[in-house]
Amino acid sequence: MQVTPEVVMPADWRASAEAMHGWRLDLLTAIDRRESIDVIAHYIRGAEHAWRMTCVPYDGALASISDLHPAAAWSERETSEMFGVRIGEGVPLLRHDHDTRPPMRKVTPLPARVETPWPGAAEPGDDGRQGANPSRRRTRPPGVQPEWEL
Amino acid sequence: MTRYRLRDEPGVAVELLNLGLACCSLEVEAAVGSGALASEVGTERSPDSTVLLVSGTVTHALAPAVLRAWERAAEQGPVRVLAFGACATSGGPYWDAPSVVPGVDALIPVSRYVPGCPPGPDSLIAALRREVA
Amino acid sequence: MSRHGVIALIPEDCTSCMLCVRECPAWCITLESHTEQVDKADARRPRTINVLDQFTIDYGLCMYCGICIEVCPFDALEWRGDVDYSTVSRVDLDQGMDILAAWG
Repeated sequence: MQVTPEVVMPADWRASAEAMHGWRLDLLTAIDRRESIDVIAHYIRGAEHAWRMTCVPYDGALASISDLHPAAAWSERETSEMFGVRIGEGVPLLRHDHDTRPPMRKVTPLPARVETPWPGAAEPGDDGRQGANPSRRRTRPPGVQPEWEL
Repeated sequence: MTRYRLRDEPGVAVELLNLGLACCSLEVEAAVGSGALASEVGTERSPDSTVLLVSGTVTHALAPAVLRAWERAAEQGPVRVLAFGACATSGGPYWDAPSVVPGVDALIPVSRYVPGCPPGPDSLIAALRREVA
Repeated sequence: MSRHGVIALIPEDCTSCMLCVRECPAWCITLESHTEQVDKADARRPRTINVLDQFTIDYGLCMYCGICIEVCPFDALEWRGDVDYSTVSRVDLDQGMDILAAWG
């Protein structure tokens, strides 16, 4: 299914949700774009699908739509604390340790991925002997971000 | 805690404490639904074997509850712990998550590990048979 | 009842290219290899090949996603049918290449 989300300004987020009256909110989540957070809503009506997206700056705020689509209540709280973007009241859901960084931000390290030696670091044919493999390039494991400081 | 009898080992009563923490617990339900495990109610006899079945992801938030369940069961007698699936074994696909315990054996002693993501219901029956035999 | 089997290795087809190891999201594959020179009478220079020493899948971590099978350029990994086992020790879920080649 190829989808192109309709992008709205954060100020129009509620209006866009209001316009989806009669649709069912299926999903509300976000994507970290490294300077901002894209908040995405997926609506369903029968066999129809619709995507709405808005771009909120890091540590920015977005109005809640949970009074219009009650299904948003859980997802908004989850998205707030996971991505560090304030949606509505921003009442904590699962995380109450707010001194730590939002886990879904790309800059937030996964310590286990840094501490565990990556088996992919070995080069083909390299059994550790000197000169066995002259082209030793440093590879970073997929998903591990440069700022996690390997 | 539910008492079961294995269809293939009718002489052995297994008391199964199922800690269904994630999707693997659906396989446990499938095992019960297959008839290979028959639930037993109203027996006075003490079980021949008590098995704590950990199926699913153990989060740090749930770790105290898992530990308490094991301690309560262990007060009554020996408990065998089955780590069912990759999550209970090592954290599985979530081994890198700060909120996940990388294997339930960090909390309680495990008697048997069942690989799979998820393991099938028949793997559960086979592992139970090996434990109680 | 059909279900996912296990991931098996065909050691003769593995070139130790490390693609599967690097693509595995669970980091559950380890591979050890060394290089050997093959002298051919008609070749101008000796050819160097990678020789596979060990290939291990930690089945305590594997999520059976099959990405390793998908990325292998030489089809040295494949799904194989019902293998049912459980272990008393965690480390015994590490399956080396002898087992990976033979089972299924």
